[in-house]
Amino acid sequence: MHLMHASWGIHPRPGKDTTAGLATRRAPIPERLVIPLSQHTGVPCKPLVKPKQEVVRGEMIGDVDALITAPVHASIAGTVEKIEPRPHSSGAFSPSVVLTPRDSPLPAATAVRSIDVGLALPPDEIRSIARSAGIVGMGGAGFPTHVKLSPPPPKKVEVCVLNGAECEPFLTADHRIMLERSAEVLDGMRLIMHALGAASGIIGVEDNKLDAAHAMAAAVERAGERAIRVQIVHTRYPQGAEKTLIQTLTGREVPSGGLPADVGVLVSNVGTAAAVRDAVCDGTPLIERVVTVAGGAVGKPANLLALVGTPIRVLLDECGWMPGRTQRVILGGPLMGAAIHDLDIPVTKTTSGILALTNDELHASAEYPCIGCGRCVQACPMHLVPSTLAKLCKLGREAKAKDAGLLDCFECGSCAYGCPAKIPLVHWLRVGKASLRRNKAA
Amino acid sequence: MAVSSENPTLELASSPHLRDRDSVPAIMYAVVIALVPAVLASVMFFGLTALLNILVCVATGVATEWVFCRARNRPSGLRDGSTVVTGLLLALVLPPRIPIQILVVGSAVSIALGKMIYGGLGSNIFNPALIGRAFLMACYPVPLTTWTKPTGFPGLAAVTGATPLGMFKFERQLTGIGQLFWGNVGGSLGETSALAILLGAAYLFIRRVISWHIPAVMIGTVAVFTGIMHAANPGAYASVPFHLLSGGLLIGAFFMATDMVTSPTTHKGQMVFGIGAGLIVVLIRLWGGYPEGVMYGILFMNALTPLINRATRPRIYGYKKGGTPS
Ligand code: SF4
Ligand code: SF4
Repeated sequence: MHLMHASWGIHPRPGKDTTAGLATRRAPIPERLVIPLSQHTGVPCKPLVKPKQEVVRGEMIGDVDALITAPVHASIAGTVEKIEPRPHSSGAFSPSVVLTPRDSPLPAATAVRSIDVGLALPPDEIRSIARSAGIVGMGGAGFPTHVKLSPPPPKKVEVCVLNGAECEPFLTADHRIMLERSAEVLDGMRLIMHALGAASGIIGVEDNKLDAAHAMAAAVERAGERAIRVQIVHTRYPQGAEKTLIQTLTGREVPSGGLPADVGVLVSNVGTAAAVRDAVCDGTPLIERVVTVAGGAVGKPANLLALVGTPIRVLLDECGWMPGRTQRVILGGPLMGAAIHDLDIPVTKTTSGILALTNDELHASAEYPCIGCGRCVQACPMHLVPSTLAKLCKLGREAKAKDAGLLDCFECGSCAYGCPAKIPLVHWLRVGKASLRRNKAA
Repeated sequence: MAVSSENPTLELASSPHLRDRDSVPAIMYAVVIALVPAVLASVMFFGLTALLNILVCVATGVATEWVFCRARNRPSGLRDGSTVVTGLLLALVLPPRIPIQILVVGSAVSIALGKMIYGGLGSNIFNPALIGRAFLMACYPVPLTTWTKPTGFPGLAAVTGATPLGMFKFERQLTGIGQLFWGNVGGSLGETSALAILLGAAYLFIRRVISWHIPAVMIGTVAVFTGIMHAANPGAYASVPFHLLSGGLLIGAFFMATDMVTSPTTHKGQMVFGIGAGLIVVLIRLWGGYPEGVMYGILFMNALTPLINRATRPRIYGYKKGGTPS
């Protein structure tokens, strides 16, 4: 069943066909791993290891005593080579643990407790497992999951939303996870709901991956789970953004400047849910993830299960990329992802995709004056007027832009995607936000 | 482990990294393509002078824009294609047998006073082609209201020289709906054939250059009010199909009221625009001094567009009804 169709969003070419049907396979293990001590929103970790130290797979190698943080772990057994700043997907250098893997096969996960035992644990125990497993939102934001699992009272989460929308073009990692690990995803969701005391759960899946929706529905059926239902939603971008998905599935709107918990909702990515289950049932911390490698300059696109710390280059090589045809390499999706200049940047907990795009795919074109076509207005999921906001920011009138909702923009890129004048709208909005931040700091 | 590959120069740019293929020139040339049926119809009904008129208007417009850009030392704005659209539309909304020098003046004024003095494409308030036409109407009222019979098409019988709206208003004489649909009636060069305009409009619609909001609401408004009056007094007021198919309503509603620069950005605003423009057309046609009011209807609503935009700004997600953050 489709829900009400509010007017926003864009329909970019999906580009998912090449990888949606391919089973996830394990990525090669690199000669050297680079594990950043900051892979999350919040306080960066301090190293817990020293150069030359031997570590085992899953051993905690970084942590810090702070509320909003998430520890990091060795994704493979090996020797710590050094700890030094390394290029990071943020564009800056970030302190990282450089690890030489020991020549040993990856051990199979061993069950520590069944899901039924897990669901009988006290909620605090689940939160503390999530923390020590270093679980963060794997959809991109990287917000520590244990913090999301403890909404400050009196806020209370009643509805847990599992985000299977995966609306960014090219990306199919979540799609594959829902197909290949439906039971684990569902169990993770049940653990999250248990930790929150949430009464109901909704799994939102876009109608371009009905097989995943069916797989999840079958898992719900098998588990005899009454409180969780699968909801198919329209395929349109940015359906999978937290705020839009909440609106589509529950009809609620997160207040401006607020959090989903303000309207009693928590949204979790499917990969994150599976990670919670793996931590609780297998005792495995978050040390690997599924990454979609695709784009016009990639010969053999794939979904790869990669160790955190694997250099991007290794995954691109594995997928037969064509450096000569590559114009941009992007981490994440093509609409919200970040372009990188250094292929030694490693896969982190939040790397959902690696895209090598050709010049042709980028549609670079000359800029024209705004012709007031309103396409940006119709596309904006927050119902802003991006053309006006960008004009104000360009003129240095960001205070006025703020009154018109500048800070409600989450940079989804829908406005700039459809702008026939090719105005870099999101760029100007970022410029405006940056000067607001500067003015606040000054 | 795979062999390390070379390190190409990777481009850094901010997201989004995907862009839709549509562009300003593509939109402008889509409008030109959509006007091809109307141009063909004009040649059919009024002969090859139609092409001459169009050529003069487009060439004068292009020259005017070029001079402006040179004078201000700006890169030429001609590549966006909007000047071709303006010149073409101006020729199509002027009488067929109009002296060349008047065309030149009209087109120069359209581009100079209608667009360039505001700062070029995107900054103008009024539809440039209609500014040109309004200027000519004020300066050369007689040539602007001198209509000729369609002569170019040999197979169809030519009809009287005045426009159907004029004939009805001043002589109480009705024109057949079929004639209005095909277009072998007196009128501006490109406005007479409803069929040709509807074909072009369908293309713009399919091509997603225009949405239904302005044209449907504008035409609907005219239909509703002329319908009421016709029902109340069929002797004094013409029927709905007559009003919809005659004059400049169709070309105005589909090709001029929809001008993106000078119409509202939100769908709600576009509907307000359509109602306003439609009402003015009805007022002028039924009770005003002129037989036709499409030009004034659109120009008047152009002036209100900034206001409409402000009044119809959507409620931001997560804000309360009044527009404050909740
Ligand atoms: S203004 Fe911000 S939220 Fe709205 S479409 Fe543009 S990037 Fe997305
Ligand atoms: S999409 Fe581009 S051209 Fe259209 S109104 Fe927005 S900024 Fe202007």
